[in-house]
Amino acid sequence: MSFVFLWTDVLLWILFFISIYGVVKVRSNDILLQKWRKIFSQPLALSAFIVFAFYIVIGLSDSIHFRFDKDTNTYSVLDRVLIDAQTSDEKTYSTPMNFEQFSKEYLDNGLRGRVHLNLVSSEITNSDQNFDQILSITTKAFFYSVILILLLILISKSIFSINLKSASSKAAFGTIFVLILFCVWALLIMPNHHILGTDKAGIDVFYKAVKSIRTGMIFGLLTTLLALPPAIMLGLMAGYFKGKTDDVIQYIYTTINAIPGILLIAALVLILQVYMDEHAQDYASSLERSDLKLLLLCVILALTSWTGLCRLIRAETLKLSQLEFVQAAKVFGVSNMKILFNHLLPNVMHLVLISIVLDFSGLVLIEAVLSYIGVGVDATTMSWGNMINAARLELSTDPVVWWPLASSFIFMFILVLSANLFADRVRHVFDPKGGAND
Amino acid sequence: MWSYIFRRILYSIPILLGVNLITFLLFFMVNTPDDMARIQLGSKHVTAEDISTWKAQKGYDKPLFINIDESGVGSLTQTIFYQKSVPLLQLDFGHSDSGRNINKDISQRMWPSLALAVPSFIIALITNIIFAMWMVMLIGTKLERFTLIVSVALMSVSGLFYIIIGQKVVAGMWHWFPVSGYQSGIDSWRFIMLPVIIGVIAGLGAGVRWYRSIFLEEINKPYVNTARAKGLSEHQVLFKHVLKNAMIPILTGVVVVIPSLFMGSLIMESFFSIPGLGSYTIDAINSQDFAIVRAMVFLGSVLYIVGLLLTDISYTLVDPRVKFK
Repeated sequence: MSFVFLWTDVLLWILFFISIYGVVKVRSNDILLQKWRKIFSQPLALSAFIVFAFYIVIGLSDSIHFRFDKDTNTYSVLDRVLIDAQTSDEKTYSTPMNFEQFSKEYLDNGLRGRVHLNLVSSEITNSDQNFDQILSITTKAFFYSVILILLLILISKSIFSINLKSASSKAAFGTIFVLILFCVWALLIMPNHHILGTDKAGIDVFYKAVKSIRTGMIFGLLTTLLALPPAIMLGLMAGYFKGKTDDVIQYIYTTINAIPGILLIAALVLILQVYMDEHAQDYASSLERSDLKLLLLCVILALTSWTGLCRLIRAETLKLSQLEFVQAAKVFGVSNMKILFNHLLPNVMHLVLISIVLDFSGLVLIEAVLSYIGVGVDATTMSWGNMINAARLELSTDPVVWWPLASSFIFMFILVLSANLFADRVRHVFDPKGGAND
Repeated sequence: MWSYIFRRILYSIPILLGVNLITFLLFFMVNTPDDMARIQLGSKHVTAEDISTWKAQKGYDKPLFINIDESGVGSLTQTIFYQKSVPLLQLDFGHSDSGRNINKDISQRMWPSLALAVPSFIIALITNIIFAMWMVMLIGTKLERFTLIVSVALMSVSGLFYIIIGQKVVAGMWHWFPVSGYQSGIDSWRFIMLPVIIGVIAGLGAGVRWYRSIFLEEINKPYVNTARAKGLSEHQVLFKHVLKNAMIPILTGVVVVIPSLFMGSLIMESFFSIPGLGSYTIDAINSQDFAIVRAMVFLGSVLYIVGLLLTDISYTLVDPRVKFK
């Protein structure tokens, strides 16, 4: 077995370690710690964060790729967990949790006329039996999850001495319970059922939707990570040096802003596509090629999206550089670089944080739009945008094939909703203006 | 004031030149004319002669920036950069790679785009402000918290969901409106209605929250206290004082997008097959027609810059405190 390192994997893990470092930093800083406590004191924000973290864990587990010897396929950890959903070979559509195919077919001997054929993965033959099995597995899953959550509560009470009566801990354990229940249930039911049915080619829709989480995460997080360095650097410089530097930087971002974002992205992606088609032989595997395309898409999005944050940081730095502590540092002869990074940067970090959480949901949503326009991720990459794109035609069939579309929308909605709720709270606490409002 | 406007226009010239340079670099440096010829000619077995005749036909057979074969001014003008980007500055977009006249296409297709974009814009503006005012009136109640969560939820749904479901259910199942298509003239309202409604609903969550934050900022100002103290009813305070003062920040956010309404909506138009500029762009993207995409990028930038200009001017008109610098 050997590990495969994709570009996006590496960057995602770097981002993960940066945030771990951030948490450590916050824990040693009293004021910041207070603020974060305040964020999590709202039950809704805490629940939203737990759901969001759940998505991140899935995304990260899908970002460790390895290859078995004598096997050309590359797997991620998530693939191995969901192996049951992956290996069952169905021929065509089936509705969620069903034991039969969606469409009728003639049996070989033709005696029974057109019937729904049984799914390959299912050994059940009638709907009563199917219902009984689902019910028994659900009961089992419920039982296991109750035990797990009780264990968790016991541990957190005895070791971390958490107050169980507070509203936020109730919300937290409630959310965790739902997530555990969902995981246990999904793992138990997967060998016999397709939780969200199968698509046209017989691929499990649940598997596709879960695999798409990684793509969404990469869009939402990597883009901001890539946009941060230019936004912070140029914003600080423009606000601190003023004069000519400011003029040039303002000119750059006004010009980039003037070009309609989605058209600029489309144009860049078109050019990228032409380039990648011409140099198709340079990539070792289709996985690496689609991964590189995903990364370059993030770069393109970052190119068009750093301007907003840059403008904010510039305005804030203009204000800050008039304050006494910066003036004092100047008088003491502290170098410009030190003033920029030691004195000014920490004071604009709240803007950075707010823009990271606020941009996240918009970026996840735009992925679907880009795929629809035809300038999105590679067709082989699993993403909600690709799922929605494929599902549009299925809606015009009769009876309607609704589950692939519904699954992708629901998975996306939960992620974006939790991100938005959390982002609201972060802004409320960190933004001096937002705090005054509510 | 005229000198102020004149200076603002002068200021936007370098930005336009910058946009022009960026689009040129994008479309001709990264993607050489040879690549374009290969895309347009299609098949894999193109000979070098085919490519050079195509380039000669479309005017791509010159050097990029400096033509050493020519002397004097000719060395700068007989280049792709000069030939392709100077007409853009005069808003002459030339011909598309497939041979269509882009200016003619734009002048035809802007009307359906406007027919969709203008009503969407106005109705969305009014609806958002009404809902935002209503939420401000609810401050402090349980209902307010509920409406806030609903607006976050509305915002979290993919725009594609509203379009796909709206089209499927309202047009496909209930047959209230045609599913897609367009007819010019008075009949167009039947085709426009559904996209407008969907557009308004899709933008409601984010829009309401934006206007609400503007109103909240106003409501904390001292003049509101004064108005309340002199015994005005809450309605009078909100509609006579807060709304009027909030018009200034609303205006600055709104005016900038008005010129861009010309460009139409990429997604809406292609979903509802409205033959506007948005679907024109999408078609160009899908057929990799770089001339059209470049023209639309440039047109969009010009409209945005016009929007910035209008914002500045309108700002000085409504707010007497702002002086012309």
